[in-house]
Amino acid sequence: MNENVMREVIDMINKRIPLKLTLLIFATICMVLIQYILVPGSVTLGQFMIVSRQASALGIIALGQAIVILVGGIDLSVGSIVMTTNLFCIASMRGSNDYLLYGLGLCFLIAVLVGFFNSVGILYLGIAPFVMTLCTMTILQGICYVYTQGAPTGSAAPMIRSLGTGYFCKIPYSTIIWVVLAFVSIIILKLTTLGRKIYAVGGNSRAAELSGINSKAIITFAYIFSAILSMIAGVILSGYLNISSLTVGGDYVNNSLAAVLIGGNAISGGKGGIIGVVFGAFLMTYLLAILTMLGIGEVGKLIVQGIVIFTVVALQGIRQKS
Amino acid sequence: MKKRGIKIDKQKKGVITIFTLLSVVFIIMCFYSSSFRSFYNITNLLVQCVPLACVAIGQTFVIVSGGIDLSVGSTISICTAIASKLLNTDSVFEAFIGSMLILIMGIFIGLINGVGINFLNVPPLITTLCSSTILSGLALYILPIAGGRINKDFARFIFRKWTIISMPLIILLIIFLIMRTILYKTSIGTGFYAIGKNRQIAKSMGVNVRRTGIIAYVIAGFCAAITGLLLACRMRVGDPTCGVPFTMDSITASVIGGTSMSGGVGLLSGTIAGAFLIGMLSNVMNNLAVNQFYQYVLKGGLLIVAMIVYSISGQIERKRNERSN
Repeated sequence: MNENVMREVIDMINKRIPLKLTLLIFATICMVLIQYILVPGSVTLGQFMIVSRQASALGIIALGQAIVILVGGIDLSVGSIVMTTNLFCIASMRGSNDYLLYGLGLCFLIAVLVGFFNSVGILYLGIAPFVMTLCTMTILQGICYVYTQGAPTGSAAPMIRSLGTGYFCKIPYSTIIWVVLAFVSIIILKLTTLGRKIYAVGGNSRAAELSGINSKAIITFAYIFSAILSMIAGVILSGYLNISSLTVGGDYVNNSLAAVLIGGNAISGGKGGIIGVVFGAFLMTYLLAILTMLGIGEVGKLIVQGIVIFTVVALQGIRQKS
Repeated sequence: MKKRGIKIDKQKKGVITIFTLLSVVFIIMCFYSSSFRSFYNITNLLVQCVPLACVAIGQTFVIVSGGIDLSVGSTISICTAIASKLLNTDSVFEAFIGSMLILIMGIFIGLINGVGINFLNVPPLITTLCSSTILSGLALYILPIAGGRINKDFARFIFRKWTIISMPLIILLIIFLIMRTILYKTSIGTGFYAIGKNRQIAKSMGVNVRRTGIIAYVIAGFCAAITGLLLACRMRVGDPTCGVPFTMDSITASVIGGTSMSGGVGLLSGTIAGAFLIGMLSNVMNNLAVNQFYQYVLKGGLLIVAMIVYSISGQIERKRNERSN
């Protein structure tokens, strides 16, 4: 380890954790306590693992969303990429390992194309990120509906299925993938020049360009990265569900935005980290799990979720001001 | 005052583009399909587009002032849900009072959004996302499944038709005229454009940034409540999920109509044209018996084409300015 790396790590511990993560850690502890008091005996490691498996798809999507928001954009197409991946993954594998690579390759290709399409629209046609990714979202939805005629069929390859449901030493595979991808994102952001450039472009893209950064390449990278992560989440979900559904991606757009903002990242770009986003995604899923355990229906879940997300983001705003 | 006039003239070019597109599609379809040009279809088409146009007007106010409102869809849903309870009476007077209460509720929802954004400093995206989640939960609580009843006479009155003119069109016209006055003729309206372009500069120029920001969301909530009432009267029942597509459609309509997502640019007439274009397109596709699933692809495609046209015309404008300089 060279000196720079050490300094980065110390900086991270000194600055990031006290400022941004105290609230999230506090919220997690509060929720564990609430669960312990209201549903005695349910706080176990196994239950945490199940929650983390459920959170993994959202968590992975939120990582990509976080990088896009860091460069000052927004990606509304993540949900429909999940849907498209789910559809093509299941349809092309036909329940056999023989078609595994073909299916994964197809999904990867689609993801890269979608990410590239987004960035071309934003960079070269000058369309606002919100509108461009909204277009992509609508078009992908349309393609899925046209392709399946509203009735998707097929089943996932056994290997994908074990990826979605299997365990390695009591830790779900999907959680491991999530954690690994989170580490990769942290390393990219904190320890590489690419990460520095991402922060620079998000902070002020004109200034970044003037200081010799190819901001177009960085933004293109961000959108393709986000699309690929959404595709990975889609594959994991396909393995977990083992069916393809036309509604599978629905909530992920809003929830990934919420996870990123709960994590303390600024919507205007250039500020924030990955650890908060991982916490954000876990917290949101954990909240839903507790509400389910308490037997609260869909109505209560929606209301509590809205209030909690708003409160967390509002409290962070107050903290940052002071 | 003079400067404001010039700015709107520049924006008008975009509006002319969208109106040209609208009339070209309309004329081609009139020649092409006899069922499209039928009197019945055209009256229906005009009425169908009114709810989207109405909610898009509110959305335009918010986008012009530099925000975004993702809660309009849920506001519409909860308004139809409450309407099916409040307007479930036999007397028209009570139904009228009920509809006034719903409009007040729309204003109240906008007020909450505005306060969350302007006083608690939560980003517009997350505030309206949260209120959208909460409102859709409340709508499902009030009315778990589509049902209830709307006073028949009141609903008939709202959807009354006199040959091609109908009550929804008149309502839209009245809202358009009121909102037009607010946006173009008052100091608050100029304030919307100012805070959309640059909040700091607007503040230093003496615009009450917070108040102006809140009013934009209040208008969006009010317009969404009117849309909810219109939908409830059209369906004559309440539906707790009927507003969902309106969130993105209203943003699409504003953007197609030339409103800039970065704020400070946009005209109401463009938004209305955008809403009618979206409505007409789905009517056209039904008319040509296109698979309804293609509508998603075409809607996205239309938005991209509109954006490309605006970006090209913007670049031509810029080059012309550079040359003249």
